This record gives sequence, structure tokens and C-alpha cells, in this order.
Amino acid sequence: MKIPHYLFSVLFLCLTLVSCIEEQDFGQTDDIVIEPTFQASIFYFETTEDVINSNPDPTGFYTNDFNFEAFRAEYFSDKVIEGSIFYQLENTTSKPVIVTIELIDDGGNVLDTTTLNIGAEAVNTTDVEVFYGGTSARSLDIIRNTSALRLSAQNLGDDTSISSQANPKLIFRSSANFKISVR
Amino acid sequence: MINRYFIVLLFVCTFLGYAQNKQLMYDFKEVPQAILLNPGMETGLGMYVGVPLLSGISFQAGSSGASVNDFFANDGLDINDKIRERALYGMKPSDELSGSFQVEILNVGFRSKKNPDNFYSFGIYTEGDAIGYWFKDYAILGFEGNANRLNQRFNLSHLNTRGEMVNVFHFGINKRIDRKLIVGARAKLYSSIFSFRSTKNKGYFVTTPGENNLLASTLVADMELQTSGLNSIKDANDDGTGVGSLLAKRGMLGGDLGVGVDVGFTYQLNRNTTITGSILDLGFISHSKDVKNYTLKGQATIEGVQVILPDALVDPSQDFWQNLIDDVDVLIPYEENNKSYITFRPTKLYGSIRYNFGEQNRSMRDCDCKAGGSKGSLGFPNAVGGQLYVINRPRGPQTAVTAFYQRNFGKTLSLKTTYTVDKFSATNVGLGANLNIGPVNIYAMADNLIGYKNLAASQYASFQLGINVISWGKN
Repeated sequence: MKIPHYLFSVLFLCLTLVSCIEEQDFGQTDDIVIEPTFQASIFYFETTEDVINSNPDPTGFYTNDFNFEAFRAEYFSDKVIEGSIFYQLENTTSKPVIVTIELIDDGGNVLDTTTLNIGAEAVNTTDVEVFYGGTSARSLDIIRNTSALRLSAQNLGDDTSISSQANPKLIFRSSANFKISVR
Repeated sequence: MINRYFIVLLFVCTFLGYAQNKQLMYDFKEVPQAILLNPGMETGLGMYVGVPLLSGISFQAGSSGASVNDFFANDGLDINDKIRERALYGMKPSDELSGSFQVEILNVGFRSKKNPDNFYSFGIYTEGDAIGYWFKDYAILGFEGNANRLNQRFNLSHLNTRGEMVNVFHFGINKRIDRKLIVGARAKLYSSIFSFRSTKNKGYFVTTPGENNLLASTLVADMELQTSGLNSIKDANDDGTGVGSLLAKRGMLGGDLGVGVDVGFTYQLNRNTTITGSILDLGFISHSKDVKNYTLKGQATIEGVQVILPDALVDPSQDFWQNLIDDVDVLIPYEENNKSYITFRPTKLYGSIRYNFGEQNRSMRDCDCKAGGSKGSLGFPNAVGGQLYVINRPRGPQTAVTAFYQRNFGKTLSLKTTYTVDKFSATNVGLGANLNIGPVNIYAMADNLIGYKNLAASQYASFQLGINVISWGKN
């Protein structure tokens, strides 16, 4: 019997060219949400008790403005949707201290103020977390417009005593934790 | 004007398109293009001329990790959950998205009249190949960030990709040494159109408890992206000066050049059994024109702006923020350079053992066997065997094994079916057909046919087709 050669070709083409594809919904790309949360330290301040004692100004032994452009980066400020700044104060000096951190815009305007109190030779740190955006009362515009930080520290005790602890210090720590909307 | 979409398409083609395993084509002696996979292949052809641009078209795409269907099936599941489950945490850094395409511009083969034991072939083809491994840690960092991932190292080596588009000018000699042995070699001249490579990245990003501050962010990086040809393409696209003419110029020996060689053999163990082997693209390309490389090397740990009294009182007005940025720039400099570099071609190795059986085709057996094949090997109606394929990849050799059955219906029709196991699929069944209608030769091949029942769920697809004009035996 003669083999129907060309039939094989037809069958082959049918097999290779006619394929199926289940229904795909590429519209799902519209639903893709990419909102990573990043965290990093932002500001660290440390002073010895000697410095505190040597600046007996009752309005504060230290104040300074620090340029801080991290929040102004276009990629961040355009996409940030919520987050927080965490502050921590540690004090092993012999005097109670108040530290005030202010967020400042380009015009020198204070956008937000956070105050941390801590007692002398405190056993525990003072921790404060300030939320921005989302369901919090603070607007994200505060963060978006912040271009500098002002740190002020006020000694609420005397200016002669020395802590019994080794190497007494006042330490201010902070970190930021923000969610950004990539998509 | 060729717009930016062309560039995107070009990249997609090269990314989807890497050094395809042509298990159906390999040692398919009736297909002229098979000699490109083994210059030492036994062939009964007297001459062939490929129809320009139509003689050899092949395409392959593979994803070893996930398929289109895994993400876009209309299954009512949240696509974000699917991405997290099936890509972010479902795929491994060794999973790849890869592919290749090849289009023959010219392909001619002819048997020497002076010495019919010699068969010569030459031509030009365009080839694009690329591979990108799953950049898992980058994806996790980008999708979820570093929050609450203290001490988790994000591995920068997960960025591992390379690709290029190249025109290949080749000339091959196929020579029968005796009744048992045929050897062949093919010289290749590569003209690279563009190339990119970022395959030796090292380092990590990690967030740890800080020494002073709450957190420390550490970046240890030794990263490099090497490119050639891409800037001129971008410039031509931006200026509207013609990407097409630029590609043609770089492809026709105006780009980066390289050399390579293919070698192969066929050895007849006995009347029915033959073994074959070939090594393809043993070569390199030197990239020196329009080279632009990007590097990021160094390491730094930062804990934010740090003000420590009394030291900071020396210069209280200094810009601590800018100092921090400057320090990082010094510690981890991002640099660009134009240093030339060499890329080695993705070398491939094929091997096979073949058992021929059935009654030999008389027309083949009666042919001038000195010119074409030997009585013992060509013209059998059936053949079964196994094949091995190994390709050199950025993360090491990748292997595929194939079992095949070939059925010849005289000179007119040949069918070959294969079953292949590789990292993409363990259910890869392929089918190839070669049809000779007078002097016209047509072939078509496709594999992973089971995947065709739902192409979207398939993790591998490839096809090859072409048209030639041929003659058999002695010219």
C-alpha cells in the first residue's frame, strides 16, 4: 500500500501550528501592588557629661541645624505613602535632660517637633515613635518637605555633678521606617 | 523612524530568544541545516541552497521557574499572592529565563566535483541569545523592602545575565576519511551587533543592629555591567538617524569581531550503529567599539548622620549629611569606563548514538556512495538512539538528554520524534518533519508539543523551519 506521505506533513503542521491556550487575564497587571517598606538609621547624637557641664546655658547646652536631604530625594518624596520615625534617648549622665528634634523645611520653618525627656542616669531608654501618613494625624507633607533637622538639648539639672557611671553620656538615636509605592 | 519600541522588542527577542538545544535537528541527515550542528555529519546531499532569510528560522524560549499561566491564569487568585508564592519565594536563583533566535541570511552547500568525499558549506546567519537568572534577592528587596529583615543578606550575585546579537559568517568542510569515519570543521567569523554581560557580581546588602545608632546598613559590592553597541543604538534611536542602518553596519563586520570554530565527526561502529559528536562555537568576540561598562565596587556601613561631641564642636557648621554622602561615594564608587573586553561564545557540545534498522532504501543504496554516504548508514527507514547536549552557561554547564526515533519514507519524507529531559521540562516531546518535493526541501520542527495544549502553561517552546533547494548525491 502506498504510504500517503503528504498526510504526515499535514498532520505535523496541524500538531505544531494548532495549539491551545487557556484564557489568560493580562489585565491583572493593573492589580499588581509593589509597596516595599525600607528602614534605616537617620540621625545619631552623642555628648559627654563634660560637654553638658561646660555649657551652663539654661535655655539649652546645645542646639544645631543639620542638613538632611534623604527625605527630599525625588524617588522617595514622590512615592512615600506612610511610615514612622523612631527616636530613642539614653542617658547615663547625672542630670535629667530634654532633647527636642524639629523637622525643618527649606525656608527654615519648623514642620514638626518631638520632645523626649529622660531622667538622670536612667535605667531605661526613652522611646518615641512618630507616625506620618496612613491613618496617623501627621501629614506626609511634613516628611516630603523636610530638608533639615534641628536638635536642641537642655540640661534640667546642675552643671557640676558627675555621674557615678563609667563614661557617662547622653545618646540620641533615630531611625526611619517608610513604605513607598513603586506601583 | 525606528522608535524605542523596536529597542524594547530587540531586547525581548534576545532575552526570550539562548543557544537553543536543537535536538530535533541534530543528526537529522535529510535536513541540510543539520550540518551546522555537526560539521562532520554524514550527508547524502550533492548540493543545497537555502532560500535567503527562509532557509533557517529558529526560535526558543524557556523559563525554568514559572510560566505565563502561573501568573496570568484567570483563576480568581490575587496576582500579588501569585507573584509572592510563585516568583519571589517559589523560584530559585538558578532558575532562568532564556532563549535564542537564529535567522539564516545565506546558506549554501556543495560537494566537490574533484573530490566527492569533500562537502563544503558556507553562509551567514544572525543569532541572538540571552539568559537572565532569577534575581531573587533583588526582587524580594524591591517587592518587600528591608524592614523587619534584620541580618538578612540580600545577595548581589543574583544579578546574572548576558546576551548578544551577532552575525556569523561561516565556512565549513565535511570530509569522509574512510568508510567508517567522517570529520568536519567550520570556521566562524563573528560580527557582534550588541552585547551585554553582568555575570560576576558579588556582594550583599544587609541591615543589622547598629554599633552606635539603631540600625546599620551595609553594602559590600563588586558589580560590573559590560556593554558594547548599545549606546550607539540608543543614540541612533534618539537622534532618528536610523537604527536599522546601524545594526546592518555593525552586523556586516563593522562591529566587534571574533573568531570561532565548530568541529565534529561521525563514526560507524558497525553496519547499523553510528556515533557522532560535535563542539560548536568554540570561540570568542573582542569588544572594543562603542564599549561602555558600569562598575560599583567597595564596601560601606552607615548608621545615618552621626554627630559626636565634643569632636563635632570643632566645626559645628560642617555639612554632616554631605560628608556622609561623600564618604559613601569614596567607599563605594560608581564608575563608568570604556575598557574593551572579551566574551566567550556559549560553547555547545552534542553527542549521539544511533541504531539504524529496516531495509535500506534502494535509491540511497544505489547512489554513489563514495560521494554521498556509505551503504551502511544512509537510507535506512528507521533509526533510534540517544543524544546528549551540553551548553556552557554563566552558572555552569547545562545538560539535556534526548531519546529519538526517526522514520524515513524514501527520500520524500522523514519524520523524527524526540523525548528530551532538561531543566525546563521532563515531558518534552518534539516532532520534526522533512519534506522533499523534487528539488524543494521544506522542514519544520517543534518541541515540547505537550505544552501546546496550553501554551501559556508551557515553560519551554521552540520551533525551527526552513526552505532549501537541494540535489542528491554527486553533482
